[in-house]
Amino acid sequence: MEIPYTVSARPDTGLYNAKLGIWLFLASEVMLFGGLFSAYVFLRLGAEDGYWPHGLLDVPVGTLNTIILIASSITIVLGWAALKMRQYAKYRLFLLATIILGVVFLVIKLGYEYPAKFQHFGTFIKKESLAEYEDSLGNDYAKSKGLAPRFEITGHLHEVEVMKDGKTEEITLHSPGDVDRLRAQGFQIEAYKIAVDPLNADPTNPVNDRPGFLYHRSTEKIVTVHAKDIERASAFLPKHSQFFAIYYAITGLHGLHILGGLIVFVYFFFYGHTLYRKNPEQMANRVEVAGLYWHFVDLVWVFVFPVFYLL
Amino acid sequence: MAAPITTSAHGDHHEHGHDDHHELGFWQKYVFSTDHKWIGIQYGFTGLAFLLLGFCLMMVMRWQLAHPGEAVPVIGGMLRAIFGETVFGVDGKGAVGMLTADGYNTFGAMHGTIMVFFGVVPVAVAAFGNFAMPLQVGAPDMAFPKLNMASYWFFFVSCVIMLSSFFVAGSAAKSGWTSYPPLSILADHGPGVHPFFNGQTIWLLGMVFNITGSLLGSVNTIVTIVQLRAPGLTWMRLPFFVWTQLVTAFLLLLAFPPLEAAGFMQLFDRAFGTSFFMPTGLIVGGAATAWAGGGSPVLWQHLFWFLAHPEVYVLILPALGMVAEIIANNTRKPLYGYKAMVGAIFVLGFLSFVVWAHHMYMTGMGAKVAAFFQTTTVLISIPSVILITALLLSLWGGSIRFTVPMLFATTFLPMFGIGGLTGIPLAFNATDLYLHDTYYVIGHFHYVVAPGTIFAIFAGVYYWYPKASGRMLSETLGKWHFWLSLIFINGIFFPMFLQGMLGMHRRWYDGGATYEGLSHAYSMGKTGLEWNGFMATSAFLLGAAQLIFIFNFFWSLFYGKKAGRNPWDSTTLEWDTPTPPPHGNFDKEITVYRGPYEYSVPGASKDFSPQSEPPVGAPAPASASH
Amino acid sequence: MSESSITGPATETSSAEGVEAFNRQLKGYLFIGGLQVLFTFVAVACSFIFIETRTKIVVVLIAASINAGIVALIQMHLKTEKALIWRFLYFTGIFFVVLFFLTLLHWFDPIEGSIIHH
Repeated sequence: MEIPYTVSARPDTGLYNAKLGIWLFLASEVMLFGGLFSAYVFLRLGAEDGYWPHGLLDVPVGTLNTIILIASSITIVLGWAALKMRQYAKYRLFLLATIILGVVFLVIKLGYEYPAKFQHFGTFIKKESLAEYEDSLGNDYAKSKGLAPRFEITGHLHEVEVMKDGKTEEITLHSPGDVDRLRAQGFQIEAYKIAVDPLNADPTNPVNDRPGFLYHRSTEKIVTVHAKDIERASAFLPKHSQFFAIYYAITGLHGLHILGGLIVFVYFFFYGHTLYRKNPEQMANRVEVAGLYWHFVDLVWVFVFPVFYLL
Repeated sequence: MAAPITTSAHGDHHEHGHDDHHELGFWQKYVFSTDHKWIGIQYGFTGLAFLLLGFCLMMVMRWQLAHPGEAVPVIGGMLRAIFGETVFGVDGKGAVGMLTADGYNTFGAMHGTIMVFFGVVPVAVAAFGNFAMPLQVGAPDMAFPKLNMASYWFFFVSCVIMLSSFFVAGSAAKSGWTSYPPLSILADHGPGVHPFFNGQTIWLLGMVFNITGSLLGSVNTIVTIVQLRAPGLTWMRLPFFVWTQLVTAFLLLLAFPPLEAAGFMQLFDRAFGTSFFMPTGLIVGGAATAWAGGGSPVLWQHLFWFLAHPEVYVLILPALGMVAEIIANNTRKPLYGYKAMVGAIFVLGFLSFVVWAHHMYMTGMGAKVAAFFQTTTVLISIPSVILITALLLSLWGGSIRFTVPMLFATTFLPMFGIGGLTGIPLAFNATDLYLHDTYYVIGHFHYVVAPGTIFAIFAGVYYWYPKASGRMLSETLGKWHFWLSLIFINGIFFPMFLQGMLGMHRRWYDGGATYEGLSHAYSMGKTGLEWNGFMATSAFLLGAAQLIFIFNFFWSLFYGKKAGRNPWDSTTLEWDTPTPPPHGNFDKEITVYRGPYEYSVPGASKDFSPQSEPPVGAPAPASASH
Repeated sequence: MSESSITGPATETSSAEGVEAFNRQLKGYLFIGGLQVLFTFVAVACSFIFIETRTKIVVVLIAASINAGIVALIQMHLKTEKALIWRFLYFTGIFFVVLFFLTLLHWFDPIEGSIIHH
C-alpha cells in the first residue's frame, strides 16, 4: 500500500504531501510564537515607567548568535541543493556544518548567556526610599534630561549582611543562589553589598544615559542596599522582572525548537544513507522539509534578537 | 475488538519498494498501529471512556447540589478511598463521602476539561475523522500514518497525565477548565502539596501533550483531504463531513498554539515564580504573595479564549457533518443547500477567531471593544442559522427512515436550535451582564454540546459501527437508548435556563444555598435551587440509560446482525469497501463519478447512486493493483 | 504509479555540469547570507543611532522584517511557492494580526478609571 504524492507532486496543487504538511505546521508555530510575542507587547505596554529594563543583555554575543543561525540556515539550504544534485558527500558536509553551528548556538546560550544572567543580581528600590540611593540611581539627573526613572541597582552580589539570633555578620557569596540557602538556614538578610554596574556607579554620566554596545562588566564600586529599602531582589532569573520572564520564556521555547531540529539533523546524518540509496528524491524532500523548519526557527530568532537585545 | 486489519491478499509480484507484506505482530497491529481505522477506534474507545468518567464526575456534583452537605450514599466510602480526603470529607451526620468545597471545584474543573479535551474532541474529531474521513476521500490511509500513530500516543500520554492528577496530594486541578489566574496560580501551593507534582501543574503538562497531539492530527487531516482525494473527487463532490473535518482541522491548527503559549507562561508562573498573570498588590489571606506582580490576569483570558472560542466550533462542526451525512442518507435525497453549507462553515471558521471576548464582557472592557465583539458574535449566528436551516429543509419531501442514527440526527436539530437561540442574550453585552456566570450560561452551552454534539456522536456510532465491526447495533436497544436519553437530558438542562434567569450563580459548591435569603421579590420567592432535585434525578436516570448503549455496543460485537458492505444503502465512498475495510481500504481502483448525495435520481435503477459506481455503459474499474 | 519507483541517479554525480550548477547555487546563497548579516548589523547600528524610543522601534523592526523577508522568500523558497501555500499563509497572517491588536485593545479601550495608564 502506497500513499500517493509522498515524493511526486499532485498535479492540481503542485505539492508533495510533506511540503504541505510542514507549511501547515509552521503556520501553527507562527501562532505559537505570535501568542508569546503578543504577550510581550501586552506586558511592555502595561509596564510602569522605569520598570522595563534596557541594556541587560549582551548585544555582541547576541549578534554573534544571530550570525551563527544565519550561517546554519545557509548551510542547510546548500546541503539540500547538493542533495538535489546528488552530491552526497557535499550534502553531508553541509549538514554537519549546520549541526555544529546549531550546537554552538545552544552552547553560547546555555553555557554563557544564561549562567551569566544567573550570576547577575538586581534589587528594586522601594519608591519611598529612592532618595536615599540617589547616588546610585541619579533620578534627579534623569528627570532633568527627560529620561525614564530608575528604580534598580544591578551588579554582582559580593556580600550580604545577615542577622541570626540577634547577631549580625557579613558573609561573602559566590553566587546569588547562596542567598536562598542562607535564608533556609534561618539567617535574615539585612543588607546586600553589590559591586554595581556602570550605570549605578556613575548615574549622572551622559555616557550611561543609554545602554552601550559593549557589555559592561560590573565596576569595583560597592554599594550597600538595605533590605528594608528593597521592593524585591533576585538574580536575573525569570521571576526578576516581566522582561526576564518573557525573555526566558521565548528564548527557552526557541532553544527547545533548535534542539528538536538538531535531533532530526543528527538522525539524517547517521541514518540517511539507507533512504538515499533506495529513493534519493524522497531523501531530498525530507531534507527540504527539515530545512524549512530550520529556516523558520532562524526567522523567529531574527525577531527575538532585536526585540529583546536592541529595543 | 473484532476488527482485524488484514493485509490484503494479493499475488502480484511487480517490483515494489514499499512496506513488506509480512503479518504484523500484536503490538504493531493493535497498539502501535499506523492504520487510520484502528487509530480511529483507539481514539474512540479512549474518548468514550473519558466521556463516561466526565459524566460520573457530574453525577456526584449533581448529588451534592441536590443534597448539599450530605455524603454520597452507598459508594461514599469507596469514593473517599479513591479520591482522597481533600475531595471527600465526612458530613454533619458522620457519614463518609461528602463532596467538599475543594472537591466540588476539582470535579467541576475536571468535568469540563475531560469532556471537552478528552471526550468530545477525541471522539468527534479524532475517532470519526480518522476512521471515516480517509475512506470518504478514497485514500488508502492518512497522508502521514506514522505521524498519526504519534498523535494518538501524545494524546494517550496526556490522558495518563491528567488521570494521575487525581492521585497527587491536593488532588486534581480545581480552578475551572478555564484555569483563570490568579486563582489557578495560587491554587495547589503551600504545605502538603508538592511544588511540582500538584493538580494544577500536572493539568498544564497534560494540556501541552494534548494540544501537541491535536496539532499533529490536524496537519495530517488537512494534507489528507487536500492531497489524497481519489480521482474524480472534486471539491464540490466531497461529503459534507469531510468539509467539516477540514475546517475543524484549521481551527485546531491556528487557534491551539496561543493556548499552548499561555499554558507555558502559566507553568512559568507556578514553577519559576514569574508574574505573567499575577497582578501587583495581591493580598491572599491577609499577606502579600510571593509573586512580584506587574502581570495581568486578563492576558490569560485573552489567550485562553482565543483558543477556546474556536474550540467550541471544533466541538460542533464534526457533529454537523455527521448529522448531514445521516440526514441525506435517511431522507433518500440530496442535502438542501450543500454549497451554502460549505460557504457557511468557512465563514463560521473565519469569524470564530474574532469573537472571543464575548466570554470576557465582565472584565472592564470599554464600549468600543464590547461593541466590536458583540457585532462579530451576532454575525457568527448567521452561518449557524444557514446550516441548521439547510439541514431542516433537507427533511422536506424526503422519504424518511427513522433508523436509530436518524432519530439522533433529527433530534440534534431542535436541540442545537435551543442551544443556539439561548446564546443570543449572551451575545449582547447588556443582557450578558446579568446572565454571565449564572446557570443560564451552563444551560446554553450544554444544550449545544450534550443534546447537540453528543447526540450527533451517538448518531455517528450507530451509523458507522457496522462498517467498523461488520455487525449492526440492535435497533430496539438503540431506540430505548434514544428516547430515554432525550427525555432525561432535557430534564437536566432545561431547568438551568430558569435557574440562571433567577440569578443562580454557577460554580458554587452548595448551589448558592448560602445566599438563598437574598432572592429578589420579582423571582416570586424562588431561587432556582428547588430544581436541583429534579435535575439530579434526571442525571442519574440519564446515566442508567447509557448502560443500555454500553451493553448494546459490546453485545452486538458478538451477537449483532451481520452487516454487509453497505447496510444503509449509502452513496459515499466509505461504503464501497469490504466490511471491515482491510489495510489499504479499497479492493478496487476508486474513481468518483458524481456528487456525494445522489439519492433518488430520476431514471436510476435504484434509489441511490454510489459515488464510485461507473455510469451505465462504462467499463468496470480494475482491482486494486497491490 | 508507485512512489518508490521515482528514483534519480542514486550514485553521486561528479559531472562538470552538476558541480557547476551547485557552485552557482552556492554563490547565490552566500550572497543572500551576506545580505542578512549586513541587515543584522544595520539593525544593531540603528538601535544605537536612534534615541527616541518610538522611532527606534520602528526602524529596528523594519530592518528585522527585511531580514525575515529574505529568510522566508528566498531561503524558504516562498517566492516560487505554490498558490495554495500562500493562501494558507495569508489567513495565518490575518489571525496573527488579530491576536496582536485585539489583545492590545485591553490597554487602549478600558472602562473609565479601571486601568492606571502608564
